[in-house]
Amino acid sequence: MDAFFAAIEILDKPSLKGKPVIVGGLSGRGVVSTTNYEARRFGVFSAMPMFKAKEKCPQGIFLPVKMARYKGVSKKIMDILKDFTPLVEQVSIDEAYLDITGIEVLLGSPEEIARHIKARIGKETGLTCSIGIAPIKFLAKVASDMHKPDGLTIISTTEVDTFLSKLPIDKIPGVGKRTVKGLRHYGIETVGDLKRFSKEQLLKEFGNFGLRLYEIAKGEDKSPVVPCREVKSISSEQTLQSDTGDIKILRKLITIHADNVASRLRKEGLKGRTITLKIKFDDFSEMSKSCAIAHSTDNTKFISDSAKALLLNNPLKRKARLIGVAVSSLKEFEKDSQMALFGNGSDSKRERKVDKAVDEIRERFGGKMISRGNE
Amino acid sequence: MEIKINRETLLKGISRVQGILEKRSHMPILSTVLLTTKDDELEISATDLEIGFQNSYPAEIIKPGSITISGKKLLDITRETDSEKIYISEKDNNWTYISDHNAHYNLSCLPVDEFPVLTEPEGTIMIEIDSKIITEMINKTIYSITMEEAGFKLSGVFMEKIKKNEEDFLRMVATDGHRLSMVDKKTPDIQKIEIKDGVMISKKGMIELNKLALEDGPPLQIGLKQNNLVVKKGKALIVIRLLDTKFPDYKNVLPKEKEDKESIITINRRHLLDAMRRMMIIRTDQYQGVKMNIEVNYLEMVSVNPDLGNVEEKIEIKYEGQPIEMGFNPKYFIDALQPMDSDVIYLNIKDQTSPCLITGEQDDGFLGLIMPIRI
Repeated sequence: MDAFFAAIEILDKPSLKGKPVIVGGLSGRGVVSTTNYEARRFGVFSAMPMFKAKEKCPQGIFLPVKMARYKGVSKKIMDILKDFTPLVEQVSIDEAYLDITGIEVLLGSPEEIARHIKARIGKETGLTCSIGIAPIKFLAKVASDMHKPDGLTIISTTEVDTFLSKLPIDKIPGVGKRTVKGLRHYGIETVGDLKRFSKEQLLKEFGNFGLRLYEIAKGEDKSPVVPCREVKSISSEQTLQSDTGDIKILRKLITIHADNVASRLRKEGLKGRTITLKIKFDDFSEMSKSCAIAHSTDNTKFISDSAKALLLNNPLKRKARLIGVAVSSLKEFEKDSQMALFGNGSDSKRERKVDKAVDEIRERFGGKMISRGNE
Repeated sequence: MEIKINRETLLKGISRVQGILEKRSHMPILSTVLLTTKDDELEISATDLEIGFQNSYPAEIIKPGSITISGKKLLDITRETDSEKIYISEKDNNWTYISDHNAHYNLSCLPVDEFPVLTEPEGTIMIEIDSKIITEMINKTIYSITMEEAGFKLSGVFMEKIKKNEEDFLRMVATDGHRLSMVDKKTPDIQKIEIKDGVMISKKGMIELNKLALEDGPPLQIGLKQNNLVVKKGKALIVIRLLDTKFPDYKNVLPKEKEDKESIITINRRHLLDAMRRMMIIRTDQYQGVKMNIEVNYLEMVSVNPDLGNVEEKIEIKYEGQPIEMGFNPKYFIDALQPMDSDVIYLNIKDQTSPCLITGEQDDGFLGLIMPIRI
């Protein structure tokens, strides 16, 4: 989608049209989530600290993130996509891969399908999107970014080689600053440059990712479009208003984030066995401590207590600027679950009842109606 | 200090303490042993601050004194030599000289006064207790201990004294929250020692106690004083610091005296144990359960793992109650059945949400409880 959050804000308030709109965290330390193209002209980009955005674009319209609203629109769009093919892999709130192999017979050429999709999204949501079509998954993503907004870019099978040879390496998904540095060290600037290296050389220098680079250079990308991605972990975190070393405050935040994580686990019907506490310090160094538990859980109190125990066992040497809780080693809740002998175990009946009641209250009256108190 | 000691004797003494030494401690002194001359003997001490161990071995004392030395290195030196005697001598500035006539070691050691000796609290009342009974009690309970970091603190065996029909018993209980194992043994002398509401002894402590009980020699003595469990056997002394944790209110989950004769399953222990082992073969973390269909006079077990396949087995039992279908983790059965002595055991199952009670005729004072898995 093009400038997704900003576009929705403009949709909701048409008077904003043509003005630079910046959506993001508005507190002193917030960052920009999305900007529309007008704001980008001022040099405001996503992930930029909000105060900087305000410096660059003082006349901008600054709006807070209304995630629930965006999610609603996102769902509508994903449903439209699923009308075309069931092979829809949603990768973020406003991005998805579609495997349209074989549906040309029914719906016309890839270009026609793309125009169709754009038209329906436009009609039903009032938003524009950019589509990339390519024989390889990652190239489709690259193509979609090429002519934004409202773009449609096609890389045909015969063009792949020429296209790849000129493609800068930082356009490859998964290639971040560090890999770019590593690649530049060998004089590799484009995917074409990669071809000079053997499979073994790339494997040796970049490990398994080197293998992927090798395949990409050859124009081979076997990664399929996966309709529902397996959720590997569920996490909740926040950057603090101001750095703190106050254990009381941190414990309070752990309660909130553990609750977020647990209620999402319950909503998704998942349980996890690994509980992680993540803290980023005022010098931007990071600490991540995990513990494994005997049996999978989705219980708020248990997750919160475990994360607090991790905090207790790992005294902080600096002030924290970000804190978060994650649960991983997830498995779908099956009937096949071990029952507990005592009431105060991870599967405690009483705690399960509390969670259930809280979930029901939130379902009916909204998420903020009830939350855990702190001791 | 200057001594000569028999290789075999030193090897026995130094091997014995390896389990106590800390391998990756932040305190290097905890990886050392303290060697002290006592009349015509050499006393070897080791501690990890939770457990202290001391024992004396005959040696030729040339000059009394004491040294510390890495327990692992002394073991290696003793193991690698082919001479019968080893000569150890203290040099200036914490250097130690060791010679076996072939090699001459000069080792830099830590000062003796840094070694934290866990001494026996004064005035501990000791009672004699049958080594075999202690070993039996430990073997039949220790497997239920959980070493999981989170959750409640169940990393030890709970020990208390109880009265049954005016007689004094020593009781050991362990649980991980999903199963429980308990042994009561008549111990008339137990009333002499003060246990109050029971004590928790760490798994490592129990392992050391068991090792000592299994060694040949004079009778085993135990006592409790100032948060320590004191164990003696001849010249060997172990001081185990009690765990400062609360054991759950296990008495609530113990079955009530009255038993419904009809619902008792009589079964050959060996048969059930072997069958459970076979059920384990296709088990993974994801699919832990075995389904047990209990019918009149036979038990059918089914274990299904969608990734692999399934395994089924039928064994003969004596049962006259209503057919019942239950799920269990086979590992819990294997752990419980393995250390039992009876040929014929009894399972008592009330319903699908209550624990299965395991007892055996020749397992006097033992009971095991296993919570089912929801199927």
